[in-house]
Amino acid sequence: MKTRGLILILAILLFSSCIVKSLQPFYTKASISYNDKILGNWTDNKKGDWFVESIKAKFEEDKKDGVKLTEEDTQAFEAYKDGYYINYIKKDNEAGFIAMPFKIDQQYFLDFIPIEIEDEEINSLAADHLLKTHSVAKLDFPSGDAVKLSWLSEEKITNLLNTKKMRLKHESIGPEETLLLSATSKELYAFLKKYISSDVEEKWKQSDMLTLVKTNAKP
Amino acid sequence: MQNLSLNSLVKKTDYHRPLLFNGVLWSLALIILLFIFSKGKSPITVDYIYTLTFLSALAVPVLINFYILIPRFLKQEKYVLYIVSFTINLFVFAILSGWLLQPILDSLFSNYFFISYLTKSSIFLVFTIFLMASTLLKLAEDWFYFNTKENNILRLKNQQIETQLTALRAQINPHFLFNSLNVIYALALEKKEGITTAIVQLSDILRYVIYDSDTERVALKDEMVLLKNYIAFQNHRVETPIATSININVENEDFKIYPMLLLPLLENSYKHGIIAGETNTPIKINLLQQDHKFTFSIENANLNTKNSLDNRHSGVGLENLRNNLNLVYKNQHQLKIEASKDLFKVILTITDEHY
Repeated sequence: MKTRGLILILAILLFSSCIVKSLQPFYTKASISYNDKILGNWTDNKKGDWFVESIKAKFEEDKKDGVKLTEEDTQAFEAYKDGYYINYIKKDNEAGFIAMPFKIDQQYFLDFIPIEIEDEEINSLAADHLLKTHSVAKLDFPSGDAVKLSWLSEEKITNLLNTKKMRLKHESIGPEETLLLSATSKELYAFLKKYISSDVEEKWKQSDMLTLVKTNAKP
Repeated sequence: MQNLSLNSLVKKTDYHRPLLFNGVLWSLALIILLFIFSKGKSPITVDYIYTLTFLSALAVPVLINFYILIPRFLKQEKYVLYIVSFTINLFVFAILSGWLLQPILDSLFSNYFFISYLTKSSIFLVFTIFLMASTLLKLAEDWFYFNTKENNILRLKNQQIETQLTALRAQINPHFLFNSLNVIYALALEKKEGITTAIVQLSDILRYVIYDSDTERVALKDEMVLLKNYIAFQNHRVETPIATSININVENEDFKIYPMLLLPLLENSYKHGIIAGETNTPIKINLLQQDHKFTFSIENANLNTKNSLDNRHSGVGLENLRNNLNLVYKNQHQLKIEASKDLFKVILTITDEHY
């Protein structure tokens, strides 16, 4: 993977709504399920552009170009070879994500973690305080040319915690008491499994949804 | 027979309080597990549901262990069988709980999310720890009640001995009185001059027998006075050519002995070894005491007048003495009876390090 000398920051800054953040990935190794349907270029309903590539393909490309893999790169390859590298551009701001596809029963999900973002507008000291966290989105294919991403809403999870109906390891961080899940991947996976089959009303909020439509544009 | 009846009496009283024991055990388990499952924070509804369901799953192997495995194997000293069945019990229920606990919770409480709780391996670990700890608690509880039962048996035994002693003592007094009245009667028949003195001596003897001897132990000197009074009293009746001899070699006159031990022996000698005016063989008494050892020997002529100790009528005093010795000086005494053609001799030796 090429390094652009960019500072890594939280994915939440890219989205206006409150999505659930987690220290650990939402998937387990056994649940990873690669799907090439989402490869390609997409435009979302909030005028963002998505360029989705296979990490495996990117590594192979680098290999062909004669890039030597370090030990760290090899570890990263092993961990994310079934994932996607997503370049997301909105209002000329660019960010890179690793998205890991996984399945619970017959439902696809994407676990997002940001890896790159341009640092021009971010104070470096403030950036040092930021932490990469995972988010999760339900992945649906309404039609052949469209993909729907529905992020897990913080509001719904907070509601479950406040009504004392759920024990899930978490922390409330900062003056805004931002919810940060600290449960293990196994627990997060178990939670999602239960959540998709539960009777919770409007599990996937409209405000946390993005509908991506395929384009032919190149980044 | 005595122990059997005591045991059956104690067995009728059930000292175990299974409700109390289980109440305390499961309440403690609930508090500890609730604290663990709520991660040290205030327990919430979902924690209570999970903890109670988990305890229900845990209760099955624990109760099987308490009420089947421990009584059938551990208490019967079938240790290998117990360890094997304990392990099977643990594995079966820990594995079943690992598989079934979460699906059962999810189906019974579909709107609740039981997520950050125990993994299968943790369930196994908790089951192992809890089964072992509860086994130790159960054994401690059993020991506690066993100890209480043992103490009660001891108390009952002591009470029984006390009752027996009181009964024996109550038997001695009328027996002695009966013999003494026979002496007075004999003196009265013969209209002896010393009858009034004899009555006073009898009165002294009876006072000692009735009042002074009603303690656990008396000083040896008091018993010696009693013996001397009795000999003097009997001398009113019996006129022997050679008087009764008493040889006393006592190191400590305050040496304590059980009261009324010696009188029955003296009575026995007078009753069966002396015929007034006929017997040439005197009664010889030796009384020795040194350190913790006390020996009393008494010898009289063997006149074959119902000297048998087994005779129900004539042997009441000696039989009482034998019973008393067995109760009071168990394994600390020796009662030796030597009966030859001419002589009848009894030697009583007591070793008592406590007095």
